[in-house]
Amino acid sequence: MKLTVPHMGLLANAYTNVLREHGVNMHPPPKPTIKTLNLGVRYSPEYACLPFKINLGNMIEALEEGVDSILMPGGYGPCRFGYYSVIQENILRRLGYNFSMTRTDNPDSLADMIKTIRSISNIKSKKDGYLVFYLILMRMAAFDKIESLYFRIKPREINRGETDRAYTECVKIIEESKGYLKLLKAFNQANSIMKDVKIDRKCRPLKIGILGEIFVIIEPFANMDVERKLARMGVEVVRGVWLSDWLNDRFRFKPFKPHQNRLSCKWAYPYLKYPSGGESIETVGKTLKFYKEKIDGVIHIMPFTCMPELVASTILQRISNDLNYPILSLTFDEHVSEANLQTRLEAFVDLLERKKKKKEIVYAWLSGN
Amino acid sequence: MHGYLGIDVGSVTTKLVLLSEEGELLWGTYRKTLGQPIRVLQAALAKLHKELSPSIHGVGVTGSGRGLAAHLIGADIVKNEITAHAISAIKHHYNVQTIIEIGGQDSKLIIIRDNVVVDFSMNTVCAAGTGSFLEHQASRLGMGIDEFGKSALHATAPVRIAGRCTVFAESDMIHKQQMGHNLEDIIAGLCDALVRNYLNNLARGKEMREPILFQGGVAANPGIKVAFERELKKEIIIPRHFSLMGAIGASLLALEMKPRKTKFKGFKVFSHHLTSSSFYCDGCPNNCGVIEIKDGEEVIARWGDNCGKWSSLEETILK
Repeated sequence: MKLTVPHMGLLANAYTNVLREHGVNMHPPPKPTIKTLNLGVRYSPEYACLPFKINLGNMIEALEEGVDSILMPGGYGPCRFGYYSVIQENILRRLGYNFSMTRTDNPDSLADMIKTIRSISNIKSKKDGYLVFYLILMRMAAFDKIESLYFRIKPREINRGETDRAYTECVKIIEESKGYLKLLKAFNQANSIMKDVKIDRKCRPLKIGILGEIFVIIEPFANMDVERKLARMGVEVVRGVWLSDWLNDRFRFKPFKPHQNRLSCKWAYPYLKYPSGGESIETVGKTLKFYKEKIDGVIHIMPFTCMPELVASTILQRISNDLNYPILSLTFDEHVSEANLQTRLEAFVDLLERKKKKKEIVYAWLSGN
Repeated sequence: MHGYLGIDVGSVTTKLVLLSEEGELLWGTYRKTLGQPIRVLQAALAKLHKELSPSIHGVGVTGSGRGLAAHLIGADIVKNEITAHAISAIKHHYNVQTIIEIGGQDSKLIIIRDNVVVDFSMNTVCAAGTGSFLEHQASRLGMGIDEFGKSALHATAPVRIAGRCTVFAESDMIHKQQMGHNLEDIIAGLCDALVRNYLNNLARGKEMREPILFQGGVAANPGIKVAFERELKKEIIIPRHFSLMGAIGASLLALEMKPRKTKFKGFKVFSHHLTSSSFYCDGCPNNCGVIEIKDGEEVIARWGDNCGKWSSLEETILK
């Protein structure tokens, strides 16, 4: 058996090595590229969202490389996503591929996850299953922590490109660690590598919050690398959605970490009274939280035809008007033009910068007074 | 004579202006890009050199071709069109609250409060309602674009045309023509459709307060102005240099920056034989299109790749 799981940010880096050690022949698909997207678009229903298309393209690429089984989360919710594995299996079978599809039926159930892990690996006892799953979750948390450091350090770096090099090295160190203790050691090492990057301590960069649909935010290919584009413009990105937070809300592997979803419900209450699918409640709640934390503005990211985020985006428009808070909504699908996106991002950053500085002297002079 | 140069390389037209130290417009030109931005820029610069031969203290570039222009001419500041348009509108009209900007291929709505941009939107899905489409329709009807805009003013009963998509708008227009509606009514109907399309796409949920400025090439078309006024029931102001606003904004930004030493490469650029070419990198499946500008045999600029494999090469060549 040669197993693959479609990409979602660094998720594949988190589980590949761990599962390999336990006798799973893991074969992650190649990182998503234009080729992946083209494949996905060719065989997907037109109105399926971008995550579906990238997933499908990923699966086809992996199958072409000789993979014979696919693991895909499924079950109900958080949106149409629950049905994706079923439809994707259907499409792939019609294309003539021969494979077996393993899906987790209940995304919220830990027991179900462990059962799935045991069914694909040579892990015997339930206890070992839990330990392995815990290790994967902790790795994901470590990746997320390093990435958030990256966003904090990048706009302040003194030598251009140093942060990027440090980040790549850190991901590799964490990826190659074996076992829980080695992971802790690797994480500490990565942490100190990131903190060794020379930064300008006086620098006060603009802060932009990133919120929206989780896949499009986490997979840089899906959002045309918006976060790194912003970081290169000298903006500190404050991401509101993390994969490890999402997983922690479900599995509570870090029991003392606040439950993000419940908190978001509380924050969002004045505008949205109950969750309306996907990450909509977090988008609304965390926008209000970012506003209170004096983050300069919010970029809301969603795939085209995403119902839950569309609900959120309408509410965001109202929040923006009520609080006079700059919010930019970006919709992604295979037709987004890079030039258009760049112009929007630049204009948004200019807007925030000028709003912050309110160059009144210059404006008074411009007006001829 | 000295001044600040502002360049706006748009999809359809290229604009070049020279501003004085005080921000007065000394010289300006507006010409079709015709798909050859390099040659058009060279010609415009040559004309400026011939007529005024100014010394340039700063250069600002904007427009969709800003990257190209910056590489070619040497710019002190490279800004997006939205900021550039907002700056020049604020300069022109101190209390402006809303800017409607419709250019060759895209349209923008900029909301300003207290002389700061607070919100903007830009067309994504469709180019209906932009200059290219209007020009295409004018030529299909065998009219000049000037005549086209004016004839809309003589309409008595504008027909209703579906304006969601350019292709459908065109077929609907042909249909209305064949039903026997007169030309003025059809053109006025088209203007209405484009305005509706603009407001539905860009202005949704945004409050368009007066004063409203209308700039960009399409502002030359009085039919659209009247259609906006009819739809919004508000006065629309068209600034004097409506088509040059982006370029003026770019040079105002250069003026605001006041570079100690400009990066302007000098007027000699126009006499060089510059060629551009592109190729697809096959380093990874992304297949980025890489653009290369050559001066004779020497590569002077390269961009378009995602990973920096080629554009970083350029840095090693240049420095």
